[in-house]
Amino acid sequence: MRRDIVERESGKWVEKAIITEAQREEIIVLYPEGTKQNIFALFAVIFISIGVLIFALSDLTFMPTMMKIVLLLAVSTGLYLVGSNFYVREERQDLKWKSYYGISFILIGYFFFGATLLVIIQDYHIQLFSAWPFIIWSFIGIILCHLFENKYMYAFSIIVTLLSQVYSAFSFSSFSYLLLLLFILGYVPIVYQRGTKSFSYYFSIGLSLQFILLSINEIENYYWMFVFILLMYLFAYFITERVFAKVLTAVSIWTVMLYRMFESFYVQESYVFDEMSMQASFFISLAILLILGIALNWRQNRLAMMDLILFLPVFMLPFPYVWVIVILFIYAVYSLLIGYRDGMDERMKLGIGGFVIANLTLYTQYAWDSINRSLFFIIGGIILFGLSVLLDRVRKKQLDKGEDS
Amino acid sequence: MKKYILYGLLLLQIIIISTLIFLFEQIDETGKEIMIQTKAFEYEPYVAYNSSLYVDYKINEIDQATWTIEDELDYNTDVYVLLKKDSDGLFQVSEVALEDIWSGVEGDRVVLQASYGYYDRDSKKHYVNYKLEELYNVPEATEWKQGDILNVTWKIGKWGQFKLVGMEKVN
Repeated sequence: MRRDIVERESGKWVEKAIITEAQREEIIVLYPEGTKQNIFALFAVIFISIGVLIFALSDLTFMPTMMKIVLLLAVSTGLYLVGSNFYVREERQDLKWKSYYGISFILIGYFFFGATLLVIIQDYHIQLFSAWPFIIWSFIGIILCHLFENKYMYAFSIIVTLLSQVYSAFSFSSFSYLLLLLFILGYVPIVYQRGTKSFSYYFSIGLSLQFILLSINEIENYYWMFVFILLMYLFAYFITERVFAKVLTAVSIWTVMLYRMFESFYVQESYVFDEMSMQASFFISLAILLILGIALNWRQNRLAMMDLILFLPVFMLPFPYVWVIVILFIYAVYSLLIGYRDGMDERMKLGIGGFVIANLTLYTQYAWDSINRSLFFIIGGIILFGLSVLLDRVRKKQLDKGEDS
Repeated sequence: MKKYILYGLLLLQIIIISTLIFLFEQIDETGKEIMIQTKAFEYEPYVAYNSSLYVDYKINEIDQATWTIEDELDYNTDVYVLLKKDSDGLFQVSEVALEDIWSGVEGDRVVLQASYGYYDRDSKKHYVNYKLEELYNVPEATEWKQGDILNVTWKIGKWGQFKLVGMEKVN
């Protein structure tokens, strides 16, 4: 809990004579004052970085190539050194107002290095058939992340790696396995070490985006995504770091739900099944992973078994788009019921998310032209309201039973 | 310890950049020169603000008879094209493959990597893109006009490097 909330709330407890002023002060001491951040420095980094890239690639054309490269590299080196000094000083002083000057300089230096690579590619007229300069750039970013453990460094570095993958996919129609390997081997140890929510989210979202590119762009069979996301979901069971495991599971489920929405539209196109090849390796891999999922959930958390329903290959059934919606509804209602019954916030969020996604899919598929939009959302709201009334009654009954016994 | 890793990183950056410069500076000594001919300009050639001009080469079109790949290719698939010098000193398409099966060719033959475009059923030709289609440092005041054909000379280095050596009007 944040210190300011504890301060505010504990004041009321003192007024009601629940605790004494002395006890209040003792409690407050347990919550150290949070570090405030100067996000302006980070916005400055974004602007300057964009400026650096434009400046190096278009405004510096008058300068001989060699001079340009030496200048950019020297500036990059200088910024790293200045940034590193600031960073060390800020870390040592444990300032309450974090300026982030150190990490800002380092990030700008990192972008100057990227600009140097791009200038070489441009001025030496290198025809790229793969994303190799971006792989180098990403690699340097990973080393910087290990050196300067900061969430903004981590976020920018992950963005560079992801954009490199996107560039490779769209410019060369090829997925870079090397970038994926770098991504996993480079960032997993940092997430493990830090164990913070932000790091875990950056990594998990980045990984699922790469899997989408791998399925659609490289393998060209969209259904492989279910295997990759299931792999990601099961990987969380083997992670000992709790926050990371929880985030990885949540992101896997959110990704598969959103992907189901995409699937429901995609499988309606007639050409999809003409071009799609059914690969036995997919079914074998999925079956193995589902069995592993059942075994793991059976041992650790039987309630989570229902998560696996989201990974079932319904595209083989007749009217697959209907089955997608059915699956989403079953999952959403189950998660809402279990989450509400057991007071599990995370499961409730997944249930609400699944419900909204299923509703939106259903509405855009069948009711866009026929039902009034406001009416549709009102119906959705009434269903949720009905569910909450029903669950309240169940809870009340349970409480009454508990009091009687 | 971290201080030394940072110094190592700075050194690594300098080594990477120096190696790339060293490799790319070699093109004048080790690069192979090829001359390829453009198709006649369909319209008045337009030199863009950055002094670049897009051209279509004759080698962008490959006859079905020369096309030896049996698979249907997706757009942007990598293909390798073997060019052979003809009696006029121009390089023409000799063979096509999905992999570089002619590594180490020398003399009057050269292998170019290209991206597959599409197949035109009417002309029975496959279109590929070599990424050599953009000429740079083109003088703004050229006398080229619609219907003109150019002979373009490129130096091909290793590591995907190309250097424009000359452009000459033929007709």
